[in-house]
Amino acid sequence: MTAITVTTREGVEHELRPQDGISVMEAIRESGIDELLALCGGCCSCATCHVFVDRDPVGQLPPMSADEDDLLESSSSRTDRSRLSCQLPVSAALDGLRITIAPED
Amino acid sequence: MATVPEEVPPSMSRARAPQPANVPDDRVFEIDMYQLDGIEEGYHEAWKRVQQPGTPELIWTPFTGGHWIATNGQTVREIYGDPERFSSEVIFLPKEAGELYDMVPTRMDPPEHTPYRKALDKGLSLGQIRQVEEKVREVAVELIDGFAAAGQCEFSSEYAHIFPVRVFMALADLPMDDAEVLGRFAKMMTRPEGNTPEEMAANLDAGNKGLIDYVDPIIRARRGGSGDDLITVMVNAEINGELISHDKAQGLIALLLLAGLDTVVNFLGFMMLHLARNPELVAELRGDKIKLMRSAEEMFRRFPVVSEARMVAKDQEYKGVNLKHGDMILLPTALHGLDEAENPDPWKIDLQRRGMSHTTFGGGPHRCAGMHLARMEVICTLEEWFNRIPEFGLAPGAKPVFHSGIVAAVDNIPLVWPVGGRPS
Repeated sequence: MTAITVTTREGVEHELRPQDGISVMEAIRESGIDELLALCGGCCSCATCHVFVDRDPVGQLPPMSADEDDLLESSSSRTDRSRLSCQLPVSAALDGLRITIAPED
Repeated sequence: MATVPEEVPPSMSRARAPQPANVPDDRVFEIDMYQLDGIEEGYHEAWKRVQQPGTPELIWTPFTGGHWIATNGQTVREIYGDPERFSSEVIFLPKEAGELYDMVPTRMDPPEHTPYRKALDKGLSLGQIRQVEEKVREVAVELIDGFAAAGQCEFSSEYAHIFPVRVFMALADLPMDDAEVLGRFAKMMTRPEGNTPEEMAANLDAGNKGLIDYVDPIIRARRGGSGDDLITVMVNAEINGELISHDKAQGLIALLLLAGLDTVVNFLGFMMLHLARNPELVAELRGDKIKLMRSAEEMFRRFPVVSEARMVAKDQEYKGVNLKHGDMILLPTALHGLDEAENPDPWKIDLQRRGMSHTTFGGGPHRCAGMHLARMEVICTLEEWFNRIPEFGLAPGAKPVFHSGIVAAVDNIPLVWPVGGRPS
């Protein structure tokens, strides 16, 4: 199974082993980490599942859509490592992915 | 304060446009977006009648000046997302009315649109909206406290029509006394009155002019100001390195007013009507704070209220028909959120729904800039309502009244609940 390491805002690391096909946002939510609000449930319309990608194991994260880019643009904590985790589907290619949950806007 | 313009009653005879040469006979359906067949049963139910197995993805109606209608979620989303083929040059129907409407930047296409949109986003970003959450919550609490002890309210007039307006007036720092006349102008623009495209255009134009005249002195007063209210931020925005022009600032503020005054009003009405009829859903939401917060999106999917249009930007073949430059296509967002192909079992509010799909906030470059505010208004309403009125229902014999248009409406939602420890 794909292994993803998630660091919370408090700096606690969680190793997740989500099933393929769900989004990284869903994987975080289902693991019980409630600080990722993910209010819109994956519609790419709320920017509350913002994460920083610390290490992208294969450099193959899906490209960013205009909607995702616009939403991230409105976040005061955006960096060049910012992504919305609802837009990242889990697959074997993401094995070893490390992400940190972004501060609340 | 300006006088509130009188209403024009609808008549039964609606003007019809002749069928243009590029419209095949099998695409012609008699659909009047302002008087949908079956509207008495409900707005979403009435639109859903149009979406039958075998209905072509693009159909044409002779009403409202003659226009195409996208009939499924995939088509609505695709047209919203492709401004090069489907322009925002005109977005309201009838087209005669839409051509008069001069909100900024809703009638612009990229790249002209982009800097205005960035100014809007700056004022309405998630971070900005979080900062006003307490103000929004106070407005909700004050309204609900006003009738909670009575055991009843007419939700449409006592909450839905007041809450978003007060929120907006507070964010824009405008006097509460002006809310009624602004609400009337907004209605003239989203459900214009009259029986011909020309009459409707005149009504919409009067509403538009009313808004513009209202905002004109406010813009002049707040130019160069240092306040942090929404209007001051917008009228001092830079567009391509220069201060926004007076005309464009007028259009931008008028848009903010319109968008803030009529959409959330009606969405809230549809949502609370459904909750009043589904106590088990209320119980599920009441018991789980995070579930309640995440339910807002499913509510948006289930109760879309907007039907605006796009103008065909160039002659093209699309969905099996030849579209002509200037043809109008109505995008009923109800036919996206309630499309089985996009959302299985679409009538059900499913708090566990995965892969939800909707265009309740539109899509593409013009996707609703106020969506973070709308989401927060819905969450605050539900939280504060359940804190004070944990159980409620629709009054016996209640007959909600539905209206269709650019923004759908529902009136007459009498709610009742037990008070003082007495069972209902």
